[in-house]
Amino acid sequence: MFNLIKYEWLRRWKFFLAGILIFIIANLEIISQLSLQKSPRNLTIVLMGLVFAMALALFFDHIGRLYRSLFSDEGFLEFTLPLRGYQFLGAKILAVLLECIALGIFVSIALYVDYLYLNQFFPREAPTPLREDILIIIVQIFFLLLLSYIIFLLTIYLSMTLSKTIFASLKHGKLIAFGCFLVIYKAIQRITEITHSHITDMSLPGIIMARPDWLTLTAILIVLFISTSYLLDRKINL
Amino acid sequence: MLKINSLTKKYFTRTVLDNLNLTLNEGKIYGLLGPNASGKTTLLKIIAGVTQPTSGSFSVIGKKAGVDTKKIVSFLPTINHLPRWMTVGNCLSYFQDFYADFDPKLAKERITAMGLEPKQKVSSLSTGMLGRLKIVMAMSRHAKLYLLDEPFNGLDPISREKVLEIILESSQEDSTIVIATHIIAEIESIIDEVIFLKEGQVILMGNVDDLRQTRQKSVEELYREVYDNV
Repeated sequence: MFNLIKYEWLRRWKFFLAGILIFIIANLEIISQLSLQKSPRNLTIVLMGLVFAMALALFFDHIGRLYRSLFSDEGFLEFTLPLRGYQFLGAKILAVLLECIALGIFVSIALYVDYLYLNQFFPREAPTPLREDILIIIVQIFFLLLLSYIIFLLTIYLSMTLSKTIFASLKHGKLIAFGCFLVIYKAIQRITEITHSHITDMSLPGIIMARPDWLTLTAILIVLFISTSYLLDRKINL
Repeated sequence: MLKINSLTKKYFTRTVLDNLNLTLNEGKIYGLLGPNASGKTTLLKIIAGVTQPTSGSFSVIGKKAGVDTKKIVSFLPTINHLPRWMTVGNCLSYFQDFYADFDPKLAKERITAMGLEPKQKVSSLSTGMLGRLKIVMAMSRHAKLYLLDEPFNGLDPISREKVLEIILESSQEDSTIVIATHIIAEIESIIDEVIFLKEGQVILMGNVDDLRQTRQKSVEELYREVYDNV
């Protein structure tokens, strides 16, 4: 399983390195402009645009990871590996999860370094330090976004897997699978709405979601993961 | 070695494999012959684990289809399944990381013998060189069952010769090699047994020498006779 992650990263280390370098350069550029009390230059805008484009590319790459395995010739290599469905899918999801966490940590460190710099040399321009309770909310929002993102990815992965398993022999398998994606997405939305409306009273100040909310999202993630793994393991039709 | 019971594969309304029963023994090289759409590739894909049968089952040395069979089955598909971003060296490490039966020393020797370099990218290889790399990867495993789907497709005569050499080198008493092809002349000299497939069913199977003696025909002539009306 970890070997699969290794090759996922070996494949795109140049992309990650380029992203990190562009982000650092863009960040330095912004800081230097801020410290000189100048408005952002064209270069700053271009660099930030590049960072945004790379983030978007990473999102499509996350979707494309299973798509490539299912719909390209590489699938003939990956699906003949002696791995179970959950190991195969787990490797893909774990790689995405670790990348998102690494990205979050990297951006946080960069912002913290910016803050230290501004605080030391330009105390007036430096933002006020974050209170602990706000910090906790930010961390919660990060993990909530991460969990929602993984659920969204798994919904896409399940739909793609359906088109290469249950609907593989049908002429419009991909179209039906897309219909399934819309249905599953709507169903997840409805489930989270229902559970949330029942538990809003339990939410505490400073806590953005009550425990049952997290449990619901985690349960959805587990169901999506198990069903996709099962199909990849037992029903694949390349 | 390989036991197939009532294997059927249907794609919507089309039946590709029709209640196929087959038993292959170890230590032999089988030629799986048949025209296009006879079910050769589908059969190999099912045994390799990349396609599921509609009904029926198979086992390899008593192990049921799944991860256990993938550990002992080496599959060479017709298409290029090796990732284009990889170098030849990456392919070696990839197989070494995932297959316990992969022999990196043997693979390195064969790579050199095939005129390949570890630093070469898969995307930069010609069809012939790619064919050589694919066969090195598949045959450098000490697998129990080798499934080779059209291993000579698109290869020049020199590459064909080298691929044939590797297949012969890899033939062991405890393993079985299945070669699906319609280029019979290439494999006639190395196969022990032949299986003729037609519309997803085995229409003729037997020892090559026995068939030659009883029918007084070469395998290629037999092929023409069997598929004359296809």
